[in-house]
Amino acid sequence: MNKTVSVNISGYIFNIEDAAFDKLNRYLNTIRGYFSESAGAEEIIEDIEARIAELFQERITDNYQVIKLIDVDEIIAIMGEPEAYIDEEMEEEEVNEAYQRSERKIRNKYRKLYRDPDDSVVGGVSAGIGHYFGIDPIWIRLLFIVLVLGGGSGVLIYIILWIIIPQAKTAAEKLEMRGDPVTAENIGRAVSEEYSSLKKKFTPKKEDIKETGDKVGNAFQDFFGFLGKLLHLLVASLGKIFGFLFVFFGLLSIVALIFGVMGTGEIFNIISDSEGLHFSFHDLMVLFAVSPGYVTWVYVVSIFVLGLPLLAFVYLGFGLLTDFKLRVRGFGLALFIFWIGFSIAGIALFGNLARNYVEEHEVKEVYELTTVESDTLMVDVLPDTLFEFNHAVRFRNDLDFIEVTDDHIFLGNPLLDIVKSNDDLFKVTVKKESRGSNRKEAREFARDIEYNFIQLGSIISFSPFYSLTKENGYHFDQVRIVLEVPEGKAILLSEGSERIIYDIDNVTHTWDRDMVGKVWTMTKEGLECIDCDLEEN
Amino acid sequence: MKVENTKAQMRKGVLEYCILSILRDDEAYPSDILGRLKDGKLIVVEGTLYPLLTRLKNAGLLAYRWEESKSGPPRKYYRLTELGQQFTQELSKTWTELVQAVNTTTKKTTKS
Repeated sequence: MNKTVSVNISGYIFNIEDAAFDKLNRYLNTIRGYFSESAGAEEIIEDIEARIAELFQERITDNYQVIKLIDVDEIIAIMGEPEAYIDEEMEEEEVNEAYQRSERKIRNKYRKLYRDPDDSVVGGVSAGIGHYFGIDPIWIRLLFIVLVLGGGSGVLIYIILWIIIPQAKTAAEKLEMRGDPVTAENIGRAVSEEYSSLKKKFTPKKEDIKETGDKVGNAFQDFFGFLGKLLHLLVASLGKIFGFLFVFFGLLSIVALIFGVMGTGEIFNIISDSEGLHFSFHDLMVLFAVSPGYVTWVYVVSIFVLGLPLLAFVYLGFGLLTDFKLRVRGFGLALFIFWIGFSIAGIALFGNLARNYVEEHEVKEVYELTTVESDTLMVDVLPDTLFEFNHAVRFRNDLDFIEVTDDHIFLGNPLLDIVKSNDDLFKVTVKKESRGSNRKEAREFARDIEYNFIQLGSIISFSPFYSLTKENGYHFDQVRIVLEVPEGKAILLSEGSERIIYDIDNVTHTWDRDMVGKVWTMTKEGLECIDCDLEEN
Repeated sequence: MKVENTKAQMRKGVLEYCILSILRDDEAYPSDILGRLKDGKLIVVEGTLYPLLTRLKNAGLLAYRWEESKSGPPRKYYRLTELGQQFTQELSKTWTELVQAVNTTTKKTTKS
């Protein structure tokens, strides 16, 4: 039983066996290559095809309906090898040029990457690569040796190449490997060459007049013969192991993906602290206040964008594990296009979302503290009722706490900086920052941020969090506080203030956490510590 | 210098003249032309003929007409054009002269 294809030659339909078709196709392509430069090429090809159709037609009877390889061979014998078509009346140089060019074209077109079993030292990888690039394999071998000596990556690369590059088994494949056009003549030559090299292999004395490179190769071949076989076995079993791992982890990931996206799954565990507040996909959606329709789209797109490569992974694993191959042409390509489509949709969705955050706006509120009684102001933090469970989620560097209630989103921490005042008053500036799709929206969101602090006598207490309405949603909101201290006045940073102070400049370049619990006086140069001289200089 | 090349060149040189001569009497289709050339051992394979015919046609020496065929695609029947006729006569004259010249030259050399 042989597969046939049907072809249209000069308006006639022929059923032709697969192998015969390949040969005929190559034959015609070679001829086309010769004529590609000359005028009337199309006409010549048409004439030739018409004649071939006629010759086929003569062969076909009720009992003989399929064109076989032998028919093609006979027709090529009648028509002549492609070289016979060269019309030498064409300018000699032109012919040469056209011939060489087409020859080169054919060589490149048909050159394929195979492992060369005839010229192999270990697995024939270097020889194959050498053929492919038209260079002596000794250079490739040297490269591998260098890679092996310098770090050992060469071994891994070699093994991977060994697995993925097929061996040239048939004479036709060997011709393709060397880039020779596959003609009957060449195949014949290749086969006889192979025969003679086989004969050489079995002759007891190896006094060949072969090149030195080959001699070295032979010596190595004996040395590596056993090792090579062992390695090949290892490679084969390695393939199985990889196959199993691919299938196993691929399927696991797919299950995890579906649960993670659809359910209340916790795929965003990665961003949560070990303390253990878990944010699910759903929670994030709430936080960013996007519509349910949008959420559905995100679900679908992320399942496909992440799931399809995983599926391909599993399929690859199956391929390695068994010889199972899906014989549907274009299936992979269709899936790939499908995947690209979903990826584009994903980018569009993301872009759509990102548009809500393009504009940034900051609202400043300045408060003058006129009722400070003493020269030293104590900086404290309000009791933290909301965050006493310490729901630490490191979502961004400067956003440490998130809590969502029925109508509000609470965020922490605000960042407190302390600078010198330009008059003799303590001042507090609250900077509320938000983002939106336009300036107006960003401004509104920024204004809607609620933030509180209380000053009573010589104590100022800052809230450790600020809040947004759930309706507005999170827009990368941020609150920064600047406390201005007049020259000559001092502040005491309470223990609790450690969580909000952020990168406060001082004369001694002391770290934030070392500033806590001490009194700092504002001098001309900046903040200076009075009571810490005892411990450090 | 290979003898094969020289042989092929000699054959190629007269090939055009032969094709034109075949067409002088009657129009013909490539297979017919081929049959006669094969008899004379001027051509071994058919492939050689097609580029040649196309070139002669493009040079205005040949013209063709289509004719339906029972055994395949329509066939091209070639015939000489006015120009082709003159061209062939010219060649014919040259050929006769050439044969004489070659004969006399080669006889002399073989004698001496």
